Amino acid sequence: MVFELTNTDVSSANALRRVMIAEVPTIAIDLVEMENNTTVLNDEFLAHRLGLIPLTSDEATNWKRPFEWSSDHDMIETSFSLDVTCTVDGVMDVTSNDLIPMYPEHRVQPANYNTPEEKPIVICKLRRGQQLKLVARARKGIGKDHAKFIPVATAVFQFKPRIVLSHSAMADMTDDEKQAFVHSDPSKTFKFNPITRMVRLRRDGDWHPDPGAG
Amino acid sequence: MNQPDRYVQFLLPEGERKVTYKADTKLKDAGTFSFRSEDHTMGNLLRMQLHSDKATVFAGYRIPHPLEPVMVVKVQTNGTKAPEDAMSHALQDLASEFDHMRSEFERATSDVQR
Repeated sequence: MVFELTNTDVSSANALRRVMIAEVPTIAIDLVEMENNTTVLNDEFLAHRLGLIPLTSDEATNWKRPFEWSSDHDMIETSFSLDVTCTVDGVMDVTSNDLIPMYPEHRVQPANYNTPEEKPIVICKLRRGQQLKLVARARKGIGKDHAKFIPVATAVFQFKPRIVLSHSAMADMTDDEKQAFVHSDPSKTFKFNPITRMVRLRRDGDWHPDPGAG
Repeated sequence: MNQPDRYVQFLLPEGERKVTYKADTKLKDAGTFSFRSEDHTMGNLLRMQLHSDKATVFAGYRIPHPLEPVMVVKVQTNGTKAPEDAMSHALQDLASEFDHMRSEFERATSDVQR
């Protein structure tokens, strides 16, 4: 999502960016109770990986942080169970689709849960006979506490330039020079109209950031 | 080993005050505010807001040590306002600016959904 902020200072934009990254609360797996782990990855390794799985966090605004708990009516956590045994010859993937919410009414589940168009997140790979059985508890937290709670992949801001074309300069240029000017921009901000022989902004005064450039 | 616990970065420990103010002994109309559990997010914002106040002669912030979540803002005014008033006005202005931003954002996103 791109949105425009006007009539304000750089510090406000940066503060918004910093808060979006570090202080917007999300839900992620925080505690893992291992029952059986005969995989090649050790317990804490798996717990770390489970914590990094993104969970749908629309409920985060209604939940409380663990240290804010004050009564039995406060929502602070939900649980997922994982019970996978490899029975086939060959490698079996344990993915985020195997994390079963124990309380579906909480509406917290891994991102793209059981979505056929998207590939699920691989937690671990099993060989014949290996088993993984655990209960994972998810809580609310913020990016400042642990990177797994960061809700955004990235948040950046950029100044939007105001481009004004000088008509007097355009009058002095030949058509070839105008064409060369238009072609020199890889993101095609300008367009040359051969009928009026004028250069104008491609999207009628609107500028969009480079899709590929940094 | 000397690093405080991670939660102190956003959670104020019991018995600690969020803000403390100390008037400057050598300069007139100057003072230092000390914020606990705050960082550049608030510091830069407050500093820029204080600059836009015409009564402010000096406004700067620093974080004395990167491991400790303490932020210090130094303010000096030209005498028409006390430094505490300058800070309180800056905070109120920021609060109303972000309230306005929030309502504009909600209006803009509800328009898009329609």
